[in-house]
Amino acid sequence: MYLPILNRKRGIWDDFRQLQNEINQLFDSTVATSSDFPKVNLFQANDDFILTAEVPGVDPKEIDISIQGNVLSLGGKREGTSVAEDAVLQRTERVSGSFLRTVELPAKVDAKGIEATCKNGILKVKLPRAEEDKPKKISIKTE
Amino acid sequence: MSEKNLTKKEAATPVNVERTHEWPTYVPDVDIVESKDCFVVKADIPGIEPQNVNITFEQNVLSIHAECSIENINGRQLISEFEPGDYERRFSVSNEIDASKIEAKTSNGVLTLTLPKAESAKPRKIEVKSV
Repeated sequence: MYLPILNRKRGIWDDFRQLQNEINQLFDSTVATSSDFPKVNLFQANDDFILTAEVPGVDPKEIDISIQGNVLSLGGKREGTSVAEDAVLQRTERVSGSFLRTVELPAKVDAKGIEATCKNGILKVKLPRAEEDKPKKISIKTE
Repeated sequence: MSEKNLTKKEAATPVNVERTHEWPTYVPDVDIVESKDCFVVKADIPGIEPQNVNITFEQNVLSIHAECSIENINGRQLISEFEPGDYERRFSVSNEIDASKIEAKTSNGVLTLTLPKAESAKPRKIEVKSV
């Protein structure tokens, strides 16, 4: 008699194992983020980290960037659309208010070397890796 | 700011029109304010150079098309939450707009369009004369 269910290569425990792996990956990931505004991208290029964030409508002067250990915080406020007394807001899709976003970097960075620029609503933060945290190359002596 | 869904919607490709590039096209979030004299449309278009914003007004349809210039960052990407892309949105606008006086400006990645109402469409106060 043909029992298709027994012929399945993947059993129910495989599905559980896969789920467990996925959950572990969520917690093991080297970088962790919080909140959802602004949206960020993080790149690692040689010894630098480059963070970009979408901050349309936020005055660059109003963005607070701070670093503590390897946690970078972006704080600020996005002003809502101002409406004059005799005007009516027909549509509001853009969100406004204060935001605080923290991003955990995979390594310590040199706080003094951080450079930030903002252009057309995209914030770009260059974070050089801290000297003491850089991977060291160990040369092997031949005897 | 967390209550609203901040996921960007991708624009639907119009029928029979194909895109020739690989990056996405988004529908920008907008605020629209109507006052006595004009409509003001504000749209979030982060990452767009002002000269790459095209605004057309044709047959009562106001089209916003913003083309992104992709700047590649070399390196390994550790967090990926947004992808640069074009922005496209259309509004049908009634006859009451004076198309020749539409103004557009960008600031910090926000496009502001001012659409003045035509003289004939402005509310008028009719004086009642006492005889």
